[in-house]
Amino acid sequence: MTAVLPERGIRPAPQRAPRPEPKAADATPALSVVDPRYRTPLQRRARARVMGMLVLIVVASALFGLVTSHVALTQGQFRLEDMRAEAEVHQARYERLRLEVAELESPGRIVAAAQERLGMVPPPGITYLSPIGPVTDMATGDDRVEAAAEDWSTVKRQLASRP
Amino acid sequence: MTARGRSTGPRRNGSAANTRRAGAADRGRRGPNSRGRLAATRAAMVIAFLVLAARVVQVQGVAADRYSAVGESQRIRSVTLPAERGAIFDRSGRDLALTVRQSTVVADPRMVEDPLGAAGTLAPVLGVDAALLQTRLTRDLGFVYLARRVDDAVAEKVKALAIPGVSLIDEPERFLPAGEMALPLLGKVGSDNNGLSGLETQYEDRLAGKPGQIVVERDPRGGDIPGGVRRFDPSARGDDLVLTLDRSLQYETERALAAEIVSSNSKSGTAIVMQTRSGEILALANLQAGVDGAAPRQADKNMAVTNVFEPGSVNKVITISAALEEGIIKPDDVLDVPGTIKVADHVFSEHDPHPLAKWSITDIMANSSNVGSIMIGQRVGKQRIDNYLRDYGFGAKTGLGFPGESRGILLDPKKWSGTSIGTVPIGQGLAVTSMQMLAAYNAVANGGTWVAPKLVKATVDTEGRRHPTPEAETRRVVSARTAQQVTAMLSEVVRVGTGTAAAVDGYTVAGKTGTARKPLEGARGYQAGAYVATFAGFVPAERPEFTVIVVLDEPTPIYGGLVSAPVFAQVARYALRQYQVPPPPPDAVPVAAAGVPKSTPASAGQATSDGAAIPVVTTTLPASSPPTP
Repeated sequence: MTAVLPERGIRPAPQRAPRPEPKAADATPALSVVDPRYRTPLQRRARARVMGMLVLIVVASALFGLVTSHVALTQGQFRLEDMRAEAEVHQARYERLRLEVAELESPGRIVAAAQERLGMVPPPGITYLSPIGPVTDMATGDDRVEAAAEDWSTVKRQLASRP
Repeated sequence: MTARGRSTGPRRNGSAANTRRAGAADRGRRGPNSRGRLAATRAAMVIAFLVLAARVVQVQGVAADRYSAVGESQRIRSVTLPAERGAIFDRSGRDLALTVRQSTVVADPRMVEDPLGAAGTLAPVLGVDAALLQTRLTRDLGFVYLARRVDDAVAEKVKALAIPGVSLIDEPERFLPAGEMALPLLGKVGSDNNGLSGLETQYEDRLAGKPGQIVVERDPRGGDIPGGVRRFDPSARGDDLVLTLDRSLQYETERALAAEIVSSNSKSGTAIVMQTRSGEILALANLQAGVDGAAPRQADKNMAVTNVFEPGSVNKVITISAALEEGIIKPDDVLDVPGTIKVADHVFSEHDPHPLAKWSITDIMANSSNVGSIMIGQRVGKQRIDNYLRDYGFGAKTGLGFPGESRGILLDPKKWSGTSIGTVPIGQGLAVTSMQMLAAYNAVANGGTWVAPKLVKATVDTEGRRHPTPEAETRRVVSARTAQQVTAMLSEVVRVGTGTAAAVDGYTVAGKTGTARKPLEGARGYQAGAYVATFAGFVPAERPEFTVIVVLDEPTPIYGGLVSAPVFAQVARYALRQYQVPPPPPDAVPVAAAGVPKSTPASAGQATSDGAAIPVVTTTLPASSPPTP
């Protein structure tokens, strides 16, 4: 008589030497070796519960992570918006200050202030003194232009385009 | 199912007989009507489900795109970000025109709860009529302007009022920090910040930039939906223009010109300062007389390149340089110059008749002799005169590309009349712009090389990179020797001739006066008593740095030597100081050493066609003034 084995994952028992036929009088159910991986229904239900809990935890964690990242993204967006608005404010302030400086530098305003407020008058003439020996080049208007252009290129990158 | 449930009840609780009785009773209660209602209910439910399913298919499948678009249109807001217009700088990087954002008051009339009250509240703040505001606030629109580009104080007041549906948006506005300086050159921009005239129009593509766009998903209350659709395309700022103008010199030039317009009662005036070697325009003033005694104001257009005039005697430089270049005359040649000369059927005369005189070429130039110039012109011949006029840049645009620039008027020699060989050499029968004449004198100053005028030195892109404009076009017109000889003659004009008022202490000035009659508009002949007074020249004559032209329209007195030359002197004096140009050392070789005889002071004792400096100048022309062409 062969042993009754569980349906799944049971390998056939190893072959043994044939036993002598038992006598009818002492016929009792034969013992069989249980597979070590065999689980009783109770154990299987417990294991299923554990697995279910784990899946639940994983799903809950995933959802929590999703929500957290979404919140972080939204917060980042708000912060970006705030910074953009702040940059706009600074850009507008820069433009106004630049206009103010340009207006203050205008020749018309300076001449008016010099003549009316300070009582200055144009010079009647200029006396040039001839130096003795070599003269180093004086800074010309174009030199000043180039210098201004260099300064400008260092700052304009930051100020030119609107945020 | 319910019926079946009821019928099983008795079976559980009673006997078989009871069960049968109960079943019979149930059958009696249901009857045929009950079954019909049941079927009808089932059918209604099936139909309802089918309708719902069809609707779901239609909404989610067939017309999904349309519904999606409708939904998006209600949630997604797209805002155009105007591009900031590039600035315009002078040659030293000082702002001449720049754009600053200003607040504009706008409203969504559908969200304004009390249009009448809002209009009444806003009217005094905005300075706009309340009825007009109410009209705008009751329109069936989602957006209306209430006041555009208000100042900061007004914007703050509007913000403080916090009227529902009324808000502020940014709009760029063009500012000219130096006032209207050089306005005809710079040009104007419209309400939408687009160029309307001048350089603002010419460089519209570079200055305008590219508008951007911001797309956001918003809830019904206007708040951003976190995680919703969001796209931000920043606007690209326009390039900046770096002009060749010098703001300080521009101011001084305008000031000097304005003062002369007032003192000479001129209708308008133009003055241009050019850097001799580079052709860069350092100052360009266009002014016209104020109305009812008001101070002169900026002209409506850039007359320096759009208006033409008969140049008159300043054109004699072309005639004489052509003759020198062709070897027809030499500087020390002496001509017998009569008081009049007949060409075809016309008699040309000097401004003041004089007996036959032996004048050198320099004398002819210094005294601005019409007869002498015509004699030289006849020797050169019409074809060669025409060639030189064109080589000096007449009859063609200068290359500035300025909107509305004129080519001037230069007749084909084949179409010349019999008197043209008399008129053209003395600057009649042709028309030039101030810029063309300036470039011609600059060619002489530049050793015989014509240099195209230049107004834009560079552009600066959004990243701050500077892109210099190409070097000005050049071409040789006359030899350096001829240029030197003409320069020497022009120096005599200022030293003892008609242009003494252009002299600058310590420097040698070379230049020529011109006083030309104004032709009638749309008819042959000239306007009575209307003249254009000109002075064109350069300084220092030994090594020219600046070439300047001053043109006054209908001044009193009429002579270029009296009204235009002083403006030249004032502007040149300032430019020399501003650019730290020292006077020539005492041991410098005088300009007149180029084989050119000095003009005889005696010849200056006679009045000339340009009003002469010496000794007395009348302000009316004699009847024998040069005939019309």
